[in-house]
Amino acid sequence: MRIALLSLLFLALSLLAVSQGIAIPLRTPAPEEVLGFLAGMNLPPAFKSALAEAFTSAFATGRATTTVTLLLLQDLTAIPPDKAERGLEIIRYAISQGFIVDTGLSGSSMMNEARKLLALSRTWEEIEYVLSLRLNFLLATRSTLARYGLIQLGKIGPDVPLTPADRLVLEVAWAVGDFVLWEGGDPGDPRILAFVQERLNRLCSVGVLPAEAAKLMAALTPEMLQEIVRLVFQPMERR
Amino acid sequence: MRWDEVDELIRAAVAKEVEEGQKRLSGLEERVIRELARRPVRRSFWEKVREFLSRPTPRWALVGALAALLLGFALGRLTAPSPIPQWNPNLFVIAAPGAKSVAIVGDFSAWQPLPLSDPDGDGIWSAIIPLPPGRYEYAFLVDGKWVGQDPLAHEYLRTFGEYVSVRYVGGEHADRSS
Repeated sequence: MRIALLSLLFLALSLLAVSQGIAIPLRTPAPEEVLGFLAGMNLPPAFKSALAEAFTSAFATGRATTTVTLLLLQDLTAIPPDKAERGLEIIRYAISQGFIVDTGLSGSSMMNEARKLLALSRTWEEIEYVLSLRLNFLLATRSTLARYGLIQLGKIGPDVPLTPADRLVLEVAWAVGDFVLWEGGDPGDPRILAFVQERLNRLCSVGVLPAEAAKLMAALTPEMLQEIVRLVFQPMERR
Repeated sequence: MRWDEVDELIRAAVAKEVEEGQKRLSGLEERVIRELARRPVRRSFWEKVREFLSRPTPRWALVGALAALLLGFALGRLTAPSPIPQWNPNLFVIAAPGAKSVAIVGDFSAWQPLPLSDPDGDGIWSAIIPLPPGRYEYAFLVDGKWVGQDPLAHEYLRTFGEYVSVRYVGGEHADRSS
């Protein structure tokens, strides 16, 4: 009797949530579902194998989520395979470098941005270009912050457990990237520091960034951020 | 033949008949019961249904409860992410009088449209979206047209010439957006 009552309670709550017009986010597919979908895509087998390996590590360590990954893969079936491969290779390379490529249903990262640009009806060439710049921002931010001693560079790889520094790198790279790509700021613009600090402050206030971010914010200088931008737009050896 | 001799013969014949009859009667009850058990009672479908319904057992009650539990779980599973983080209800609202459909896209939906509703038809479309703390970019789609500037947003970005609203959920921003 108790089981029946509890079951009815769960059922009633589920129906209530749906009937109240609450827009509830998406389901979380199992990694096997995502990898199964990838296996069925029209891509070279060797590339699919490498990508499956990268995604498996990313799902296990929190560098990507199955929800956004599956949606993006589904999007990519609508574009020519060679273009899809180029875009996915950027993401695979980012994972291999230990970067977070997908923050799930909050925040910004490469896969979320790709989905956003698709929603904005941008061409895949534009999206691929933005993804390659975002990757450069990640690489430049990590190397610059490490050079100035603001983060410690340990072992790098897709299977290495995430640390707070990984999220710091992502958010600094994203803020600098947003300033340059979407705010029209140039590398010498002195407003870049205020822009990045305000972004990091807000992320700290909602708990996305840990306390270490405050130390980083205090140590940031316009020169460091300008150096990141300079590195992004100069030819970089990354493959 | 004398009458007494006839009587003797009759008694002997009757005794023989009784003796033979008793042999046949021996085990008759068991045979009848066996025979009855061997012949199934044919019941109609409705009789069987009535019998099933009139005989509730704890086993079937448990099966029913389990089915209800699974249905409730499946409904929740289909519509909610797992694991469920600490959610804050967030009201997203836009004035769009005369619009036929209004949706919202954002990080929280992986940029898939979520419909807004206007139950009283006053042109104010809204949705309550439970979200964990974080930074969310989003925009409205009014009859399919991108509307990226929400007055309730904390900041805006311009992406390829289109505005995108940004809302921070949690912490000191909680009171403004929920």
